[in-house]
Amino acid sequence: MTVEYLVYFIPFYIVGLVLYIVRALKGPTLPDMVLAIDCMGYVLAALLVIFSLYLGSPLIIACAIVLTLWIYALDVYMSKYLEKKELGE
Amino acid sequence: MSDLYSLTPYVVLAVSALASTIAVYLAIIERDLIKAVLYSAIQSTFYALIFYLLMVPDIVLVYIPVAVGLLPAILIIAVKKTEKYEDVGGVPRTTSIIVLLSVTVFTLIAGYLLVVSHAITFDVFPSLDARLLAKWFLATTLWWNRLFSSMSPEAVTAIVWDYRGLDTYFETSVMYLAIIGALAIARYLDIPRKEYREDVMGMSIIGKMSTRVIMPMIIIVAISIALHGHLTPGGGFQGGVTGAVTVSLLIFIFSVYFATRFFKISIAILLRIIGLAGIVLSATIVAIIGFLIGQPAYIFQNQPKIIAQIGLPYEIGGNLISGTLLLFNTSEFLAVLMGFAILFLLLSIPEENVLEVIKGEVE
Amino acid sequence: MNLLNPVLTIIGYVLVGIGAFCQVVAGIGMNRFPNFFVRLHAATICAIGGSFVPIIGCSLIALSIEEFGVIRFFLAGAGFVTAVFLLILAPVGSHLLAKAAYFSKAAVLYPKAVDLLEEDVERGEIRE
Repeated sequence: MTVEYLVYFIPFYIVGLVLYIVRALKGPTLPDMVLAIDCMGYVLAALLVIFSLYLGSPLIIACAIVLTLWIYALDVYMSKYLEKKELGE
Repeated sequence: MSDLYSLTPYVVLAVSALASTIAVYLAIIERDLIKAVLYSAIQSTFYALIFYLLMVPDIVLVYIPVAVGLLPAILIIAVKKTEKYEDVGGVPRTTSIIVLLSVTVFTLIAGYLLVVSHAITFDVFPSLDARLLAKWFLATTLWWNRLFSSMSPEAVTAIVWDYRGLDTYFETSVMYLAIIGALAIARYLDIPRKEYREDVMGMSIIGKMSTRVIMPMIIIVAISIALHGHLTPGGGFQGGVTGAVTVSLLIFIFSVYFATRFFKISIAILLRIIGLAGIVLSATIVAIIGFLIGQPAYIFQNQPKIIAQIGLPYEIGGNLISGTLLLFNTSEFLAVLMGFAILFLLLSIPEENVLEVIKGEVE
Repeated sequence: MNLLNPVLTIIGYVLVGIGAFCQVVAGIGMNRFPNFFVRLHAATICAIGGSFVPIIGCSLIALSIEEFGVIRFFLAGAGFVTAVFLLILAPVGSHLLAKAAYFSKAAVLYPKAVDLLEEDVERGEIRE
């Protein structure tokens, strides 16, 4: 198995994740927070794929696709909220 | 050194638990409601990671859409329609700092104990020794004998439909009743008939174009999650909420007038009824067959049992379909997708129309 | 396929390493940059360099592991689908957010050298 070396890369992703959490909790304005949550979602998608490979269970990977889609949907909701328009238009 | 690195999943668990705890705390004390919604989205994301590391992908596939996607959408719509700030005095600063510090210390101690327990046992992550109940479930679901299992390699779907079929049916009925309640509240409302104009309505052209490109791919992924529910993690509900992304994107990026070109509320209600009828059919089809050919059979039966010797075929032409599981997943997909479509369409009716209807009611 | 496996593994690990580097850089940038519009650059590095690239790398590694059997194609295929979604959706999400933040003035544009978009809007060439 060549998968075990992946574990040396995971701490870097976690450092990135923690830095995004700091910005998401601190963020002075709303768009900052949404942007940091976006980045958290993307690094989590990468982490999910890496973990499914590292833990040796390929079947659990479908979660990454769904996470990517819904993070995009959260973006769309928030930008729709920020625009001063009726929600349906 | 290698032992230290094998602790990585535990460290990730501890970091996610800490971050979600802090996010929950901030969501409770925040007065700006939109920020509170975002904090709760952070918490949901980390819970999803925790569930993922504990190897429950079916829960993750339900939790991400409901808690990251649908709940913020509905809350954001509600906040936009009402007011942005909570009308209550905040918590004193010293109290909040003390509570936050104690929560942080508690979480760190819990994570430390987890790591210590791992250092004592040196177990593989996740633990390989299963308990007696889990062993029994695995033995009766993954045992390839038609008399005892439901012939599906995915244990969760098999348990949900073969062992807890009545529960699943009532859960679906509860959601059905909730949507009926929403329809009853909005009984005189309808989406106004207006022509969709590309240049005025919706968001920017980049968003529209890429959404047009991505939409068929999302639908294909949703259908594959739903129809592979008896083979891989996923199922009808998971596929349905993934497909609900398309509806929300159609409404928010284009407009509700563009969405009503494809389906109206009445058509969505019709498809939903078809979905629920499919669930009822997949619950009773074996009993109906047994009644017709005069043999004993049960409701919610899938594969033949010892005293009821009839059942649906578990494969067609070499492809595993696991009896009624495929039918159940397809029907549940249709019911859930159309339920969320109705909800989003009702929520996006413009405020002026709602006010007009309410005025008419009062007079 | 046997001869190709080490090559796929090495390429995959290189891509995962690039992703790790980009995540740390983007995380630092996300905290050090002064305002929202500059932080968008860090978000781009996170989405494309830090997530799209390592997911492709993981799919390549998965293709090279023959112990998984047929199911490794499932892993690789789902990984590629995730990567394509990410490649298309992440920049569009950032664009929608930036546009909404600019025109609704929700984000403060404080250390400002030049703002050509504002001048264009004032001259009436660009509509909101």
